[in-house]
Amino acid sequence: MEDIAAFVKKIENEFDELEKGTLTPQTNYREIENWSSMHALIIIALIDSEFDVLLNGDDLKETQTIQDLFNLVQSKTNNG
Amino acid sequence: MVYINAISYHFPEKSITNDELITDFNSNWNREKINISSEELYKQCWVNKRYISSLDETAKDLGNAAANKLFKEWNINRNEIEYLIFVSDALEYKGPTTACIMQYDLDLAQTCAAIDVLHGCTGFIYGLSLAKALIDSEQVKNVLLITADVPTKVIHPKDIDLRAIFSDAAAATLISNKKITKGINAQFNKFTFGTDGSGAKSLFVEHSATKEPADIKWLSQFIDVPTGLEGGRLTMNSSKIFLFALKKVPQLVKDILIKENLTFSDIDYFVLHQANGQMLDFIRKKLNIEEEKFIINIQEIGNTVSASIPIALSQMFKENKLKKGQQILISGFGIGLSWGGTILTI
Repeated sequence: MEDIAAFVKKIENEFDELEKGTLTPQTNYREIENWSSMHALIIIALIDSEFDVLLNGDDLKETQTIQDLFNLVQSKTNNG
Repeated sequence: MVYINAISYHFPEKSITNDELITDFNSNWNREKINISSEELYKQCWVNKRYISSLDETAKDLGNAAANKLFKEWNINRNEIEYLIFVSDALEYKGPTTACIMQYDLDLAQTCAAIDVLHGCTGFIYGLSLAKALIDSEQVKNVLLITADVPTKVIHPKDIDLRAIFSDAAAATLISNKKITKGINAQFNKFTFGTDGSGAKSLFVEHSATKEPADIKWLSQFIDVPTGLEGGRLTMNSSKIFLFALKKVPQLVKDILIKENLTFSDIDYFVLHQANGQMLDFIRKKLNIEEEKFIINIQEIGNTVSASIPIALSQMFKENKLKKGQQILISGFGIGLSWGGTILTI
């Protein structure tokens, strides 16, 4: 799997309203401005199409930062 | 000038509710024992009911029915049609052109031109743009645009998510250089288009034509499927399509407005291709458009591919929603990947 920097960039790319370079691995993604359930769905869809890992709402609840998300995806791809 | 003067549409006789769909799915096709209720099915796409053509009924047949309704309902003389554009992802043959056969079916004049346009969810926009070019350049005065599709024929009955969304239907639209009495009489202007062929496989009808045609080995998997999937099998990468729609469609809407030097507040209604109700609502929220101005009529119709926009416009006209001076943004997006739109002025 790719590195965290590429992962951050991919998420940033999906959220048009975000300025480039705003997100870091330490960003709590729920604190992104105007965060909504739509953003959660975008993240789920992005991870599904990029890594073939289908997260559910409970999976997301376990995570706070983008690093957490990255680790979660990585653990699921390694197990797969 | 160029006007959309009249629209009529036609559905197959048979429709199926969520309860009926789930009953059929569970009793015949749910081999993986998926547990899904009618309510969950509705929540995913906001569809209660979709239409299904009979086995021997094609997109052409639905299109002919829509065109005959158009002639009757709007009192249009079929002899005045000089150009027929048939838009569909479900053409009859690789040859001849389906529209040529329709000239005969519909008893149009032998001086009438006839072409097919192979397009899906952006098909109505493409058809309109061609009709406008033909009329603007004074080649012809009256274009009949028929948009019809039968997606249910290429869906495997075990693909419950696709069965929930897609629906068979046809619409016929008359585009002319002059208004007609008691017509819709909507003017339209510049078009915005976009294409991303890298997403071809995101929404794809596999084994459907010249490249990798359906062979005996492939078809033998589907002996128990009523259609036999002889015309191919639709596959959809839902996540990719969702990301595409949520990224491209808001940008498309903005680009259409910029091209006409308009802002959101200038638009009375937004009529987007009825892809999936939930997804449309996300797009609406992303663009901060009020619910009253954003048409979602998918609930009792389903996703009718290239027929969805004209069906919505026709219903709005019948409900007296369309008033003189209004501006209506229309846009299609989907298989291709492809997107496009324009603004109608009533």
